Amino acid sequence: MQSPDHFQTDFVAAIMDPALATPNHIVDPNGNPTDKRFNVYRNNVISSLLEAMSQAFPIVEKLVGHEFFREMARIYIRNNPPSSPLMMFYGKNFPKFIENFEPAKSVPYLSDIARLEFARRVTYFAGDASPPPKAVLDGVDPEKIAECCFVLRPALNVISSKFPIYDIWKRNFDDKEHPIGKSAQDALITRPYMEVLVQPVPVGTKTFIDLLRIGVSLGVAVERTLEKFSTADISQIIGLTLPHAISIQE
Amino acid sequence: MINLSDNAPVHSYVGIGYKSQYLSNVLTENTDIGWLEIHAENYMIDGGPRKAMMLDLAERYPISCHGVGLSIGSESGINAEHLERLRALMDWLKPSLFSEHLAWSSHNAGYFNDLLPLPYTQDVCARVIHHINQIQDTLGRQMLLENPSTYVAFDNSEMSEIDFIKQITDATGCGLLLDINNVFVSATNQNYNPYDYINEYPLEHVGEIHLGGHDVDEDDNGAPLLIDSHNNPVEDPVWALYEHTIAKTGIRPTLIEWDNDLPEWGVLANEARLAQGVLTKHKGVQDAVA
Repeated sequence: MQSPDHFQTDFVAAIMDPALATPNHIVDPNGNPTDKRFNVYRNNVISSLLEAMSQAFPIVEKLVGHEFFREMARIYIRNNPPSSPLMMFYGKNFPKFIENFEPAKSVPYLSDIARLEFARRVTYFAGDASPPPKAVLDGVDPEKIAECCFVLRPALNVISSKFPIYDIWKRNFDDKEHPIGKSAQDALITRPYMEVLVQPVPVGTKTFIDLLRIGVSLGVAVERTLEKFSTADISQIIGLTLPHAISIQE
Repeated sequence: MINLSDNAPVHSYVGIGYKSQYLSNVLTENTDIGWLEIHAENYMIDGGPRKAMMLDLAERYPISCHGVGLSIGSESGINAEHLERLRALMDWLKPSLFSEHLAWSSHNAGYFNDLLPLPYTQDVCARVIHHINQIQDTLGRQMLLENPSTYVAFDNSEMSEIDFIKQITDATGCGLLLDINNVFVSATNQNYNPYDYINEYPLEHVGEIHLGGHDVDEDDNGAPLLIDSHNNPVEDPVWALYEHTIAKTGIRPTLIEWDNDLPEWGVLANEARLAQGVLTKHKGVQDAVA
């Protein structure tokens, strides 16, 4: 049911764009125009979304500083208001936004840090594995394992980066002078029980896990990962991934 | 269930807005806290520690589920996907109470994370009634509708907030969550007497009461403008208005709502004790009369 003057369309436009005038019909109790009262809503919306962004991306904020982060997040918010009331998942497009955000180009790994932070959050709220992962490899005919498809636990995500992304994240997360390597890293984010774990994994892990997730067999996943990353440590990748399998289809 | 029988101890009617910071307090202390209220959207999750914790708490406390994202006044309708998430939450949480706001927060594909105001027109009233019917039908239960804190008025409003709310309860059979702080905030901001509001309010439908803190600002002309910030103790005039209300409604489940700048547990527990004090005093008067 639409009100004839599309009042809510005007209202949210004015909330998101401070250059727009206070919408029609909005008055103080004496019937006079009021900007300051309308600004309470502007302020509530923007400050609550800024707070949500700070909570979601604390390491990004730490890397660029509070003021820079707020300005960057403010621009993001104006162009990407939440699409759902589930605020814990707000900021999904922030990594992509950072990638194209010119003033942040001097911190080239920033978008990957944002990606890692968002993946931690998604992993935290992901479904519990049921039944819990156990030795699903037991009882599989070794001759046939390459033909098997593995279903991985929901609480498992992986990101890849051209940077030593785990090392950078870990140093800032722990606030300790951990050494930072020179090579690219993938980071595996899992929740084996109640706590979310982040670990550095070989390059190629993301490709491998993405392939298993779309339902290809182990053999095909290995083959295609090696096509893309000829030097990938495939046995280590398999060893890191399969303990997170919750079921197997031969 | 939140026990509403005549012989339930008075303290069991007072709850707090639950935040995970208070987990060890509500698990280990002899708190006298009767029930917990949560924001529905925070628990629309598939699994993990937050859900496990809430399943555990729901074994120990009655839970009130307070939605903040249904956007009942939305011109673009109730989001069916969100309503379905709410139904799924109800299935595992089995809350004693369910409440939502007389406000809107979504428009088309966007969600604006605040409780935005509605003009009180016949058209808007019909829309809200339609949405509440849809919600109650989908959930298969009664909801409580919360009166808003408002900062602006509308020159196209056709009726008072109370007449608007009365039409809604008459048409939908929904109950009411009476937020006493919101009454005080709106009365100050809209320049009416909060006691007149309570005296005219359809109190017979009130299934829950909220108490919370507010901030003080001023408008373009220097008139006081109160902000419903939930980051302070309940103010004295709000306690007085609460006592006045309880004298009329009798004992009702009452929540201390503190969402921002969370205090030490002791501060929150003291607010709960103050509310228990008001209910105990009322019960004393009631018993003396009987």
